[in-house]
Amino acid sequence: MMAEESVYGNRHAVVIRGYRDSYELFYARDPNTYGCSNVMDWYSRWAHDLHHNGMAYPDGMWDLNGDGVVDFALYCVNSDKATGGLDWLNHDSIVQHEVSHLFDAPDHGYYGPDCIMTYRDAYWG
Amino acid sequence: MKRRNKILTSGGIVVLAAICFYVFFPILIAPPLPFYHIENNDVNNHEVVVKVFDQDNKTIFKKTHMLGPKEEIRQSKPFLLKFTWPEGEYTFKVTLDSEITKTYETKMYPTLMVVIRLYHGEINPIISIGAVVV
Repeated sequence: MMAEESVYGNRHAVVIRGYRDSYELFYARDPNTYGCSNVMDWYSRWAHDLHHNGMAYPDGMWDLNGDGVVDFALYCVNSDKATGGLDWLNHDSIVQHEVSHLFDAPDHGYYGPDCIMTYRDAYWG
Repeated sequence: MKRRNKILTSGGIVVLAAICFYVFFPILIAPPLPFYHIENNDVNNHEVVVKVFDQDNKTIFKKTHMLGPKEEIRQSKPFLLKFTWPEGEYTFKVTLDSEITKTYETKMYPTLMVVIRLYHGEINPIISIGAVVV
């Protein structure tokens, strides 16, 4: 659950739900609105067995579900298990790290200041 | 003498283990990404020329790719960019079929990859460029 600034102005907490439509495409809208009809400013979703613990697309993605409708959002994905290395010990820190990228926070490198954007600290949580 | 050798050997092993941990631990918690990824979502072949300039506007990389329909390629990073976190911005200049050119400025470091999408959906520009970070 995370805080999000709605495109309609009210700040609220949202549970991010990622799900697939009948065409096996990722499809997600603001779950706090009737019919999930509002497009959100940014998305964060969980996935299984990605190569990395998480990845962010801070430039945003257009047409998230490939249906030709103009939807645009900053986007990141978090993995419940990383297949390409070590799982970060605290999975909350994956979300914190990746969502921070969506707000223009740069990586500090593998070693650096005490910060979630330093990989060492992101790993230890 | 034997005791001294034992201590030196043990010390050496500890130092070596510490160095290995310092070097390999980062790669395990955030594996590096390729330099860039190109995906051709079109049903036709396309030629893509990628030029990369450093902060002094000096060309550090140039490569021509021929992509078939729906083909994707990944290019590995130049050696130094695999391990360093340089200051300043790099400029990617992507030319499609010698007709359309798009540029994109970004920082460059081991866990950042530039993504170049061609003909990605009806509402996107013919070339769309962004970055993916770990």
